[in-house]
Amino acid sequence: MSASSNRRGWGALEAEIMAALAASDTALGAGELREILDPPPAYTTVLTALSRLHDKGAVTRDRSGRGHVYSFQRDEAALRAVQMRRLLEGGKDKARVLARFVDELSPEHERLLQRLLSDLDGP
Amino acid sequence: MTFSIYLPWLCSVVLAAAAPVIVRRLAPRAAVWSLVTAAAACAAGTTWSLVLMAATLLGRTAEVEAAARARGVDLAEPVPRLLAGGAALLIGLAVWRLAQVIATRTAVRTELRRLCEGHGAELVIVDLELAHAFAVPGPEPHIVATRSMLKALTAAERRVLLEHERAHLRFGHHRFEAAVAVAVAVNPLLAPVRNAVAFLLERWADETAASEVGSRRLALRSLARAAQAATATSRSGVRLAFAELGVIHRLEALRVSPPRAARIPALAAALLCLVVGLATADATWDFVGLVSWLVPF
Repeated sequence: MSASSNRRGWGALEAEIMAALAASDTALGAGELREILDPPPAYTTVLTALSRLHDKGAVTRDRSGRGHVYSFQRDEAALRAVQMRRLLEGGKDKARVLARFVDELSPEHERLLQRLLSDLDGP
Repeated sequence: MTFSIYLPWLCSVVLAAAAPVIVRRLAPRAAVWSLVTAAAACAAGTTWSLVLMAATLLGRTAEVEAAARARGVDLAEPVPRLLAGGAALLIGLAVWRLAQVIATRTAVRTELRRLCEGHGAELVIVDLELAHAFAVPGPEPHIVATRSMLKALTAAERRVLLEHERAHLRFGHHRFEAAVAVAVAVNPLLAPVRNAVAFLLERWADETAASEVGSRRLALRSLARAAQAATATSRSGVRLAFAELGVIHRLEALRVSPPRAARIPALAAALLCLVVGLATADATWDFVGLVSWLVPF
């Protein structure tokens, strides 16, 4: 954690940008990305992160008007889906090794969750 | 030896019974350390007790019995013969289960490394309709997330998800998980401890993520929405009851203020390790006493 003065750090910002690109159905420019990211970083910071990601081959870049738009590596992500599906279907023992962010819920717990979310979205 | 050799087993039962009870009340980091240490001690103690029990069978071979008669030594039978035979069987079973665990983990690790291979960035995106995210430890740690998981969350909520997975990587959570998996492989009585540790590791990552983004409310919302997405996109309706409870309890824990670190779990774990250690030493000492006449001075 050398960049302690930077609230986010480069690695974290790059991951957030990639996640935002993957969540979007269309290619995004640096300005649009800045709008999406929360909290919003400086425009130049987004540009720098995008060019670093492009150098790594982690995002694709296309010309659009006077600037660039970026998107995630669609083909690679599709290829990985095949690999991951195989892994997930490899049985309970294998699936257990993958400690995932969340597990699914029962219908009863799902209703509970729905209530919780509507509470949170309230004032 | 007639009593102390069974004590590690009693400790395992106590630990397995206590783990699900203490799991929701304690600060996750200290609780994980305590549970994993205690489980490792119990696993080591019970394995050694099986070795000692099985070794008493060696005292029943014809050569030893003949030598004992010749020297006028009264051969004691510290462990019932049937139990000693059972212990030998259990050692075989433990070795087999351990091999299974290592094989599965190695296979998964290889497949996961292949999934992330040659990927320069930390986040690895998978275009899968199933909402899923997990951390892949290694020399080049990665976070894997599916597109449907990322789509289900807002930018701020995605930050929570990333910080959660980063916490798993930063604190080496896979090592705790592996240690408990090994302990359960050699001593299946400890299975509840494994579930407790799995839950606590998620809690630990939740708490870290909440403090990194500076909002428990945001962490809570992210987790809730991710759980909703995982449920909506899942094909299999059947899950382990504990896993289901896991998310709800994690959400509840984020609703209130973070648990205060207490010294009790560490003290309890230390006490348990001490009991197992002393019992093992006592049983071993007695065993050495039993066989010492075999070694000529």
